[in-house]
Amino acid sequence: VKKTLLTLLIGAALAALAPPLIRKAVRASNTQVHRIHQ
Amino acid sequence: MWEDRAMATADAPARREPGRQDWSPWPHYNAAAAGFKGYWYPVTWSSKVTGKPSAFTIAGEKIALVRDGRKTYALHDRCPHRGVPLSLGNQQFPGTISCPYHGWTYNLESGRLCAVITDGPKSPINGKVNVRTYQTAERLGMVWVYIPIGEEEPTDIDEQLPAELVENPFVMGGRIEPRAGNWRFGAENGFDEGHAKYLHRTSLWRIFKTMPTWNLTRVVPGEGANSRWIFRVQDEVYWEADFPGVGRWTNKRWWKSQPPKETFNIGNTGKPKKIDPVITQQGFPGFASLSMPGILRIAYPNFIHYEFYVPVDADNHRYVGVMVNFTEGWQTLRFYVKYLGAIRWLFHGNFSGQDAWMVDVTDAPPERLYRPDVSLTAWRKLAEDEYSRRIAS
Repeated sequence: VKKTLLTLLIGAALAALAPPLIRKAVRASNTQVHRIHQ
Repeated sequence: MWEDRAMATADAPARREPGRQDWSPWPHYNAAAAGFKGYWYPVTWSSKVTGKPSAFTIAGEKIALVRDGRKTYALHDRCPHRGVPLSLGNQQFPGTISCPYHGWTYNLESGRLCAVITDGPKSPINGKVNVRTYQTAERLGMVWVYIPIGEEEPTDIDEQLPAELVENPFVMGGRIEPRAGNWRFGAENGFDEGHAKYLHRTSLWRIFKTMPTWNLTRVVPGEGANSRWIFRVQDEVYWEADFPGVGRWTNKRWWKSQPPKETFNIGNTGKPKKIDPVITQQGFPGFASLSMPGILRIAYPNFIHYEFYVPVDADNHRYVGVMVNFTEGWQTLRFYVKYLGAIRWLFHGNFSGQDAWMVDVTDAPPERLYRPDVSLTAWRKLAEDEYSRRIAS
């Protein structure tokens, strides 16, 4: 039970923290992709 | 940094370091700490230039960039009235920009003062003041600005761009990043023969690829469409070596791909199985090439990586890294996934971050160059010769 609770807790923390961290990293990287047609 | 060094030399000559003490053999290059004028420079992504002005410094020139309708405009970022940056203002009338302080309003096309909001419609100063304007262009999803030497008309931007990017359709991913360090250190690092195989051996991008130990390299001028470029040609590539009295050194590891037996000049880690036809068609004599005003091209079998070192001032530049894949249609989606999922983090991030680190801490001249630095001196000569020709004409 302890293990399951811990897994759920870590999972929830990751699910909450990962998207804003990824968004922050993406913004900081200032990257873009483009298709160029001549 | 450059000013500090000059002062230190004047006040109290420092202990003499070995080697060349200055860059006097290349006087124009030596004087171009804040960049060469007379060239187009990429500034920012097109989508970031909106009706709200933004401020940039390119080759020492302070510039306000703004979009009006579909067209972008660049003006000297200083209101002649009291020196306030125009980039802090906004657009009160179509086709104009107004200073935030007293509403001096300039025509975006001509830079002419066309209204002074706080002095009424018959303001006597109206039409008598101009701010400098710069030509802009949009290429590779970015806004480019021409920084003139004097009052000359801009050169054709497509003649400055790598020819293969003008003639072919492609998909690209890019990263624009402000970086510390002089732009010349950026360009020199990019074309530096000796650095990649040692500095980048620990990068995640090269985790499964063996890097050479050392090479015998020549630098040759390009021909035809590449006559503005110089190329590094690998004559001999050594993947391991015994250093007398020290020991054996190699980047070979059991988990890395085995290096090829023969020497090749596309990519630098393995023998290519298949080379993109557009890249083959270019006939590059070497996989690394460089042109003015600091454009690096690294040709891999299936894509080409470019770096533009955009001068800001003597101590800062903007790194513009672009990865190009000459594909169309659904294949571009594969590139999107690869670029956004991996390349931008591993190559334009971790790998290129190692370069940013070195460019930031490089402190030359003085410098004691070694055999592979033929790449640096060839580049300086190219810059010197091309710029001398340009100002002579």
